[in-house]
Amino acid sequence: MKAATGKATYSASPTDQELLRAFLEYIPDCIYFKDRDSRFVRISRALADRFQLKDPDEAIGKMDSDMFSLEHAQQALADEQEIIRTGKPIIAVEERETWMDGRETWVSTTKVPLRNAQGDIIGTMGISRDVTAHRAAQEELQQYKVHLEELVEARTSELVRAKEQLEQSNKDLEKFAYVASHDLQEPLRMVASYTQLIARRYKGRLDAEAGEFIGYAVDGANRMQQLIQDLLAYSRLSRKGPCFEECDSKAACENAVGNLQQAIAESGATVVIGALPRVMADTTQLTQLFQNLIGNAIKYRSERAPNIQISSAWKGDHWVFSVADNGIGIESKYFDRIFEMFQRLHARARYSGTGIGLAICRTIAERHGGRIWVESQPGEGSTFFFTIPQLRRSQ
Amino acid sequence: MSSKPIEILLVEDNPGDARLTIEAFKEGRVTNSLTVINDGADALAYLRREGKYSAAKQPDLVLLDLNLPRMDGREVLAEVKSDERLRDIPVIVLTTSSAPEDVKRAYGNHANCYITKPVDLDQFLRVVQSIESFWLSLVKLPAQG
Repeated sequence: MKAATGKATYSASPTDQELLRAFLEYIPDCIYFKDRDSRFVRISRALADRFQLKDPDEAIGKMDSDMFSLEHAQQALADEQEIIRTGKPIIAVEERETWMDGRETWVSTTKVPLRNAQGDIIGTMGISRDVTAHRAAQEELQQYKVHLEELVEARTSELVRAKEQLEQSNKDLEKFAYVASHDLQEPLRMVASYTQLIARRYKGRLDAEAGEFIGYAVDGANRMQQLIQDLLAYSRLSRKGPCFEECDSKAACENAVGNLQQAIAESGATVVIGALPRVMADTTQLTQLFQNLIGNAIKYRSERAPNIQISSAWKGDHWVFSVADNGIGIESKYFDRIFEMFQRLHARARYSGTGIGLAICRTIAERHGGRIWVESQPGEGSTFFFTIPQLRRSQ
Repeated sequence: MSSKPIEILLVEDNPGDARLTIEAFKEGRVTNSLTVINDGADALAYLRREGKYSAAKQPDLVLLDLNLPRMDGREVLAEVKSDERLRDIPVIVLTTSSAPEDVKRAYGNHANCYITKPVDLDQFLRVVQSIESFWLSLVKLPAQG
């Protein structure tokens, strides 16, 4: 079958008049035809509704100035006269309409010249779509965007400020650490040394009470010094991250034992170091960890001579180290508390200490990606465990 | 042993500390003459025999505190150890500071040794006596001009 060319040849083909009527009646956009003076010739049903007219024909002969604010009407007139003069259309321009009652709406509008069969411009025709809601949504979106940007900016400057404060507080901490290591200890040394010098020089000329008082003064100064030293060690830990290297944990443990030689000799302790692995660790910190644990094992000894066993076990992806003693032990309700700062379980007169040692141990273990805990039977002894993750050679 | 007294220069601004060191040396065995200077700039002038110190004797040993007025001990140490006429004099940093930064910096500036003053008097006396027995009796130092 041969395809029909040119005009449709359906039997019930609608006339142009019918098409135009349907077009103007049912398209929901605002459509108009205007003469050369910009008077309405014909408008669509949708535009009549917008003008609040019952019948589109009521618009015939009216102008924009009968509907819109003078300002908007004048702008529309000028645009249309320009189209008539030049023949150039206005295509899909978003414009604001201001109505006589002061309302504002937005339309996307297209205006083209209206020509007769000879091609002469006899007016204009246009089609507009209301984009007020769309535009409001866009504006809201834009406001959100601006608001979001403001929020991000505020948050960023908060973070910058927090970082500056942190840097300042780190600097202050460093300063404090220095003051503590020097300025705080100097007066302390004066008190301790001169009290002792009095005791030394006036030996035999002071009574037993004076000796006791001097003893308390010196003991106080010594304790204060230990406290300062421990606090310093702790603040050094928080200031400087660990410096990881491949290290022989057995050598670190032996160093710790060496540093405790005097206490070991005085207490008659036996220290047995089992097989210990090579690990990725900060050697100084690992030594300190062993030293604090072994030192505690000696300090909290029972009547028996201390027997301390240090060993290790491989658990698939980490090492578990243990320091076991036969000391006084710890009740299970204190298992967590002992690792907190300044938590002491015993009267100072029985066991000296600042309550910082195990807090340091915990910080060191955590800094190495491990953890620390204790198992104990009061009267039998305690075993402290800590873990260090697998050796990572690539680091 | 030479009967000529050993000359010691103690650079220390805290009179309590200076006195304690003097007392400690009194209990020692070596005949010594101890001069106390209490600020860093004066200590350097003394060592260089400048101004009012033109008649100063060159010390056999310097005990140097770190925190001093005007010019602190770190600077004094750096000056002494970069001065050809002074660098042979043993300088012992004797300070309250146990800060690792101070220890490292002192050895970096060629301190001959670094000692943190102990709080305990007996330990302090022992430290001073060790200084005496090591630096003034045992160690052979270059002959002074």
